[in-house]
Amino acid sequence: MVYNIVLRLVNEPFYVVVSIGILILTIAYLVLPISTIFYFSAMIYPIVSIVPFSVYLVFYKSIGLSWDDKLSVLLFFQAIASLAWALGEIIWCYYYNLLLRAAVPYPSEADAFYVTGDLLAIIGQLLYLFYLYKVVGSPLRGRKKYYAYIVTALLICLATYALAYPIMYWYGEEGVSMVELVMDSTYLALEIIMVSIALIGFLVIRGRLGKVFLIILISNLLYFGYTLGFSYLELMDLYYDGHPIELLDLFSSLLDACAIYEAYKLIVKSSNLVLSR
Amino acid sequence: MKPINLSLKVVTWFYLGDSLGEEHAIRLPLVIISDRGGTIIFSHPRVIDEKSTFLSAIVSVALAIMTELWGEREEMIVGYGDLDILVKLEKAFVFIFIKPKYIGNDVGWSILSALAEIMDQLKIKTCGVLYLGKAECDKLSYVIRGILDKYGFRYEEISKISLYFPEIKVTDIVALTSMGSELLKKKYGTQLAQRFLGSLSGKCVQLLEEIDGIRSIREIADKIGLDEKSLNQCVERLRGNFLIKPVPRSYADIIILSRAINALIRQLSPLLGKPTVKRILKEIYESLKCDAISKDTLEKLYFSVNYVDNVNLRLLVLKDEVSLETLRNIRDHVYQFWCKLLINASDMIGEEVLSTMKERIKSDLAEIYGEEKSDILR
Repeated sequence: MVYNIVLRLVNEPFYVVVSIGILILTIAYLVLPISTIFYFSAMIYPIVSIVPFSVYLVFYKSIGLSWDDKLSVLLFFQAIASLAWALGEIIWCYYYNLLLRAAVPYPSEADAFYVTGDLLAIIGQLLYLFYLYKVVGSPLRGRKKYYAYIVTALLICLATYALAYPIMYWYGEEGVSMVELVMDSTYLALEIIMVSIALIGFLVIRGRLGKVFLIILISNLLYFGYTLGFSYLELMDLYYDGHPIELLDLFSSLLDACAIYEAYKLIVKSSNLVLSR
Repeated sequence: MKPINLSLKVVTWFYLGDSLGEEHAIRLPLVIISDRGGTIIFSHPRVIDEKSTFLSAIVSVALAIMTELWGEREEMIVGYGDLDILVKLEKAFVFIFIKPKYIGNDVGWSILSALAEIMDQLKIKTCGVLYLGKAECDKLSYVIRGILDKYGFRYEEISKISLYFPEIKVTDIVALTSMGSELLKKKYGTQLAQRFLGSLSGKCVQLLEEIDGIRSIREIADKIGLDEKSLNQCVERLRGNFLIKPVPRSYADIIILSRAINALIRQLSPLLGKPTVKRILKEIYESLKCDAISKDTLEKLYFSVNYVDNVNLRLLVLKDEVSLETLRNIRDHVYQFWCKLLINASDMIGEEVLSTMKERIKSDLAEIYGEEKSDILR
């Protein structure tokens, strides 16, 4: 099975490029010394972040955009969300890291773009789910409803538990920055919403479109994992630019691009199963 | 011998009372026994003298075709507007059954065979002008009523006029009969039309005018705002006066399937994206290669069948000028299109969402066309 998946991935140049990208990023983050990884990270981060938007632009002609076409609306929002995140990264990396030589500019103007990106992604996914609700009624039935509740509850517990210790620690020692705490909570809340929506989409929709939602779900989970790790490390004062936790965020961006690519494939390719019937 | 199906393509207002006034009208079905010269010796219900000439002419033409042109052909079916004329030639007599197309031919042939047997039992073998006695006529009438009862047709006496007609439900897709259509055209042109339409309520005339061979009676009634009670009364009047007829079953299936396909396309487009749905529709079209399905409208994400959406072609179907075999072929293609669309949709969004969509479409259409007809979407 793994062999088959690898074979299928190798047959698609897009996934070959993505795989190479993931490999290079992983090696670089694990091998490069901290002093070098700071620059590498600052250079590469905005480029990787803008990949989903670029992929969307490449396939835009095929995907199109129409309010009646909720999938195109979802992809559009995913794309402009990634553009917003990329703008945030440009401010963080190029302006603060490379121009001002400032490490970990948090919070900063970049956060306005990150929050905007999160909101845009949520709006896109919600619009799609609302339409699904309109068509099929309550999308979650039976056990699936409980899966969604359990996963969401788990994420909330995880976020609370991960942040509780550093907050209490800092509160006991020298007090915690309220702005930072509010930002951390905002990000985590937004990302829990993102994961929950994508999870509902994945639980309800199967088939080839379900694959798109699965990729979005994994991407959202990675993004959530990154934010959780970042918030924890930042509160513990352990975070530095180029920390390996960033790999989760970078992979999340690449997966967003993969989701757009999979949606594009729906338009241009029939599945072998259908062709054979 | 297998009966030959002959369609005369005559568009005539087969309402025998037109020129004579309503009280002389003869409704169908009509059973006639004639001698070989074309003279009517028995009819059920009783045929008034003025019309017997006309009916004799039909019998004579049929007889001439069967004997002179085809050499003693025993059975023949003549399509005549909304009617079928079944002709059975046996020994000295010609047995004729005139009926609306919806009454199955088997009913007609059963009646004619039974009459032939009775005539045989009565030892009536004379050629030439012959008048049957009361006892013979009663016996023949009794046989006819018995067979009609067996096939579930109600036999109603409306003064001297007999009328049988299949049940029409409000969920049926109906078309105007040639009589209904002529009546509408001659709306105030003839005394009869005035009398007919004048006796109907305004809403009922409106309903008659709205009948297009695509929508069910209920749909039209909803559109013009006709309440349930008035609707039932109206349908009974229109049905009883032979002004509306249900469209052929295959054609109704085509309409229902087309609507289901369009409903599914409308639901899938936002979920899968318009380009994806367009690709799927194009692939299905290419695989079926059915000329009756319009390729151009698929580009606009609309499934269209020529015989439904093209008014001229639809009229041909409604006038029974398109063979049932052609309609069945189109129905099969449209059904395949529906099945292939379902397979593709299932591959794209999974079975669960699709089955919910399908159930919703089915229940929506069942409300309009009835459970039984929407069963084709299973």
